[in-house]
Amino acid sequence: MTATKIEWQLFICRACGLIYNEEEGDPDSGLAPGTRFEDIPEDWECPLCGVTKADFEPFEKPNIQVDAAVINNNSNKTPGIIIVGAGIAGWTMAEAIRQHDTTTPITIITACSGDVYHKPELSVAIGRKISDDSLIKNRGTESAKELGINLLPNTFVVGLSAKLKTVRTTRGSFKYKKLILAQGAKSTVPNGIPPEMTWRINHFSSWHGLKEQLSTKAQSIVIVGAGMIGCELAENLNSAGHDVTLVFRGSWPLAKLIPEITGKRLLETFEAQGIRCISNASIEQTKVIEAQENQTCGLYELRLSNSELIEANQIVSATGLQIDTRIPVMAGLSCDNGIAVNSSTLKTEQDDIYALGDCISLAGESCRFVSPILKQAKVIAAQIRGEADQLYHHEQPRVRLKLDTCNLIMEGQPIKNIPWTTVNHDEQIILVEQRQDDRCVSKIELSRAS
Amino acid sequence: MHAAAVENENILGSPDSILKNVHNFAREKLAPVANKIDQEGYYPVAEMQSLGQLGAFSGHLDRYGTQFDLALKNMESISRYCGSTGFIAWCQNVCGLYMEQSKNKALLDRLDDQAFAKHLGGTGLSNPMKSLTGIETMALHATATKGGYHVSGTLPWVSNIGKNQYFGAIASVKNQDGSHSHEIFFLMDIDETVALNKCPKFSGMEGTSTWGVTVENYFVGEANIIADPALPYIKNIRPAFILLQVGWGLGVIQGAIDSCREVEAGLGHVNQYLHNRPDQLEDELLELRERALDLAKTPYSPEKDHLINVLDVRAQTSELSLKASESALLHQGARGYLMESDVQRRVREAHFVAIVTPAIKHLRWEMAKLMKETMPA
Repeated sequence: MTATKIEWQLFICRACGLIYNEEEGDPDSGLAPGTRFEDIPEDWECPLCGVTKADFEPFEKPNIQVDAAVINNNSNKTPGIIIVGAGIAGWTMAEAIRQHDTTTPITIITACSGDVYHKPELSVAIGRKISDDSLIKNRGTESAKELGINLLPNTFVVGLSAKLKTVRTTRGSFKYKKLILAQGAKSTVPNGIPPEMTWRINHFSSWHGLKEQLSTKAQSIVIVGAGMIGCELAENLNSAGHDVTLVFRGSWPLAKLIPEITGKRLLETFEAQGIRCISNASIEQTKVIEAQENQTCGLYELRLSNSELIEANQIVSATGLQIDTRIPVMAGLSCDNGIAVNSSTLKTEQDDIYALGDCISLAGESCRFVSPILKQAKVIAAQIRGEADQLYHHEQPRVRLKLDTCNLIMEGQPIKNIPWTTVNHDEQIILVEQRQDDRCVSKIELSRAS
Repeated sequence: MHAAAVENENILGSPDSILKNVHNFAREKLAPVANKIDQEGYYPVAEMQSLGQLGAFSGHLDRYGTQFDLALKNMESISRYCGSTGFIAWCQNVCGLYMEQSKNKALLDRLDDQAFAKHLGGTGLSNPMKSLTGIETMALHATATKGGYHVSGTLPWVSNIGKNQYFGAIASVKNQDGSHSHEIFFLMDIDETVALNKCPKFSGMEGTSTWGVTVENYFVGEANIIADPALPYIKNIRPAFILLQVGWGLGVIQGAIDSCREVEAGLGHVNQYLHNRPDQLEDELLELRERALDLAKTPYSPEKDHLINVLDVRAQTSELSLKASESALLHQGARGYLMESDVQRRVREAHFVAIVTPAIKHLRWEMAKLMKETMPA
């Protein structure tokens, strides 16, 4: 006779969580190793809490992966520098400190995996077929090893006490000598769309989720918001073969940043590519028409403020960024479009807490571009070393949108209520500028791609 | 002042005098029996009743002015001298809260007996709280019957209960075809049909009258319903339920700091080499208490940020309890290692602060869940 060997099963006590392993049995109560659950007498009791066999249910061991970086963490014993956030700002900050100081303990605490990637690439990565491997420049654990720092990935900061110099997280509390906030900003979710129905492309993980969904077949995509990210995504996803509709509040794309003459040209360029543009509109309500099943995408219906109904397989919101103020406010830091920092030292209102990148505001203005970050990191590193004379001078970065069909370059800081002067307007190039006190304060150039 | 608070004051005196009376009772009457409770499992019914008459368990109730700060401070005073009693004080407080928030007239009629501890009531929400956040499955099951429900199942450990007492419990209701329908929250009166099973001996928290509870087709009628369906109700009371536990933990921490200071005169010259000295711990306790009292101003706030703040304060209470009680042991040395030492008892109490639902690991799991951005699946 050939007996088929059945694998040993586990059973969990619903009352206290004790696990009965058939292979081990329960010799203390007379169940020899190898006693099958079905052979246990009904009046057998849980060795821990005393409930009976009927209160047990089959149990499967979950597959748990523990981050090696978390196991190695020992920063609580020697307070050093803590950096919150492992985006470009966080990693740049760690590098800037390590250039002059290889011994102070540094811990990066981040809600994400900590992998190093260049966020601006996300808005164009799908259309340009950039692979995950080339987006991820380095694994977070590798970078941490190279810089000799502790990385706490997948860890949320839940509390901050400036007085006790303690950061509280979902993996325990950590004392710091200096704290640097580099946690970035969160994408807003527009009214009228529940968050579980709309992607926001501000992190690798959410970008990757959208990419996976789009990999099955060409789909209809509604992009809400025509700021820089919305425009880049619209053109990029359209070029990848998807059917894109861009819905925005203004009369033309980038309405908050560029004047009508350039805006209308951009609108024409988008429409010429087959992107449907719905201006002066917002989303009133969103509902699921068909649920998503397996690899098949679902279908949403959006009702717009102009009463129009549109359908989409995917909804992407790009309506702007805002910072989560819970933690800064708790620590006594004031927030105005970001965490308020001294414009020269980048120190917050609390001693020993600095901030940089997307989460800060300089004189009430946020500046959510990559280019100032390196300078900011160098200044903070110097300030921490005690080089008080190394100060930050903010310059509005030159911004170029990542579009394939046209070049849009913005320089300077546009000022509300100052009229735009058209310097050049022809089929190829539109050039406008704002002048104040006989000086050009901001300039926009839109040209067709050659 | 809130009209209900005025009424409370007329019956019991001002909040300050309640705090003073409760503190004095805890120091003078409870502290001497703390070891009897801990070592012999003495259930301090008489002491709880005295505390109730002094107003220790009524302040947080809407009927008496929704003064959660008063409840937190009273529990701190109690557990400063006995953590086991502090824990059942929390049970008593939340059981009263369940009854009052039910808005069920039959339960409201019984509320004063609970508020002033004429009767003692417990709470069996450890399992459902874990179940509802996805950590384990529900232990009690119910089926609808004429005029109510029949409930069956076993809860492994419920504190502050005994024959003729009662506690708040939650059961998941099954449809006739066995599928899940919803949850009900009810007050289980421990009559002759309810079996109380002796629990295994724990390392601490003796004297809390903790039992395993088994019922089979236990009938729950209208008069005992706290909430049906239970989920919206639980969402509403959850931050208050968790925040109240903080008062109990604060007392354990304060007691540990007291023990550090107690030996300062004799051992200060060597204790100076220890980390987590009493002044440092006191600073942390002050900050924690301040945050808790601030949250106590809006105990039922539905904001997600409020819930995260409450979970954060609760987790910090556990961390500081562990740190302070260990430090007390190191400060007292051999004296604190004696089996009947307050310090030894407090180490075990602090462990319980950290593992009871919501345990540190559950709090962190829940905070991580709440802080994660919601995206399409």
